[in-house]
Amino acid sequence: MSGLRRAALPALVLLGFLVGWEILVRWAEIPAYTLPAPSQIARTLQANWASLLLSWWFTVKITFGALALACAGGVLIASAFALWPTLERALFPIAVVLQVTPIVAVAPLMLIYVQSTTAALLFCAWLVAFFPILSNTLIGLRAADENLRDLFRLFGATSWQQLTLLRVPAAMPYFLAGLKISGGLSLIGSVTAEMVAGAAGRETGLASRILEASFRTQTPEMFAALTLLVATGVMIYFSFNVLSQVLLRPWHASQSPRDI
Amino acid sequence: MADLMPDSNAMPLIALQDVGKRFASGLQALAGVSLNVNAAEFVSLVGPSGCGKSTVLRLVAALDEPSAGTVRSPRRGKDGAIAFVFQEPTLMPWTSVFDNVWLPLRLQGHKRKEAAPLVRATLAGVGLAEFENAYPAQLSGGMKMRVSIARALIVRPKVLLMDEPFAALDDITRQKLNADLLRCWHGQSMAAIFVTHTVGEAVFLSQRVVVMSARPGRVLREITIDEPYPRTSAFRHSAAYNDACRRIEATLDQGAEQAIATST
Repeated sequence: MSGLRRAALPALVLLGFLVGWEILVRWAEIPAYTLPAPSQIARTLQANWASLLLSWWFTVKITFGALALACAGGVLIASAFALWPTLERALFPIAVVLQVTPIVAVAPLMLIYVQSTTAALLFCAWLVAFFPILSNTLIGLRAADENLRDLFRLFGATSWQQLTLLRVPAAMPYFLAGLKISGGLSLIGSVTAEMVAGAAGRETGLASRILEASFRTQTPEMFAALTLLVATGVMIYFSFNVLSQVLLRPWHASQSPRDI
Repeated sequence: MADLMPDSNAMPLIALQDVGKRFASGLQALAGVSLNVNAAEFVSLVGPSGCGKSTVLRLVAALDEPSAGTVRSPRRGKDGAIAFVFQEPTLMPWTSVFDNVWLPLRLQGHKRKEAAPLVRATLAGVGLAEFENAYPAQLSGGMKMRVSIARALIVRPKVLLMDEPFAALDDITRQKLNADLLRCWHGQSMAAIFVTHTVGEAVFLSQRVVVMSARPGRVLREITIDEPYPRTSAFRHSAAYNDACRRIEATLDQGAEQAIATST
């Protein structure tokens, strides 16, 4: 019940916003190619549902593929850095360079080196998504209490036991915080990359749909694709929020009911 | 200096010989510390803040190496001969009380099922039988410390090292835990080294109180407390108790004056 009640306020605000938008468009007789009314966006969504869904699926595949790779890469590299500090000193600047390079500038380059557009898109999205996971996990792996580490030494723990029983659980809140950031970033990355690189072949994502519609001044179609993107982003955010609540609720202060 | 050494024919379990410790930062924590602890003996270290009491414990546990002198103590490792209780409970917050107490056995390769009876018995021993499924965040400070002690006791250590374990607790909880700690120590024959700021606590618990000087830490005096166990709270109001406290405080004051004299 309390969950429903908490959701009611933002839902009302959103509804009010949509109604206001609808009224504004009708009252001011704004043409659809300038600003379509929500009802028209909904109709456009419905009319193009099948093809939009295909594009949506393409974008989702790139997004989650990149996010999965970012998790794997970020966690692996962070573990390597945590185990061998020299490696971190040598390679962390490169990670920073990768992070600060604007993805818009990299995407066309990637197309030169990588044959498959999908691979180029995956790489670009990975590039933006992996750094938060890397840096957060790295901090997390070092966050284990120093006395606990001594205790593990005292009881003769192997490196593997230290990693699985101490460092990984201690890093979990940090990793999940990184995952929340990277989830949104990988969607942004996949859309941006597709905007710049364009999608070749039969498969196109939502970004191409927006571009395509914009060339034809089909503003309602642009909004329809945008709506799907926003919904996807919100969905990603909420699912990772739930995941982190489920994993951390019993113990981590960030999920303590007192905070709310 | 020789008269400070307890003359025991038996080999002491723990022996520090002229131990000095200088940290990489250049800080001289200990200088010429000699200290013996016998098996099943309860010894407290008392001294001003930063006098290297904790360093002594870390050296005994082989968590640090001495920069001078020798330290002999039971080998740490898989057999869990040495257990350590820190000032903070130092529990794993992400897992239950049961799992926290199971940890030392788990690291030795004991499965959850086979360790369960011992974990439960140890928890019952510190009065936490009903809390095995609780998370540390749900416990009070005193209860967390009990879990920490249970985790140390479960390995049946030859040596129990405690670094101001009750410093953060209120007085009532502290006295209760002191009594329970003595009961646990009396039940298992293990040597205990207890670091504290509180003179009364040291006297109540120990057979011997070692008074240390300000940095660099040296042993100023050792005071034997000849009170048989089990000790009750009546001991806290006895003349012997007060006399021991007075002697320790006098030594601490003397040490403080010397420290001021040498620093000016």
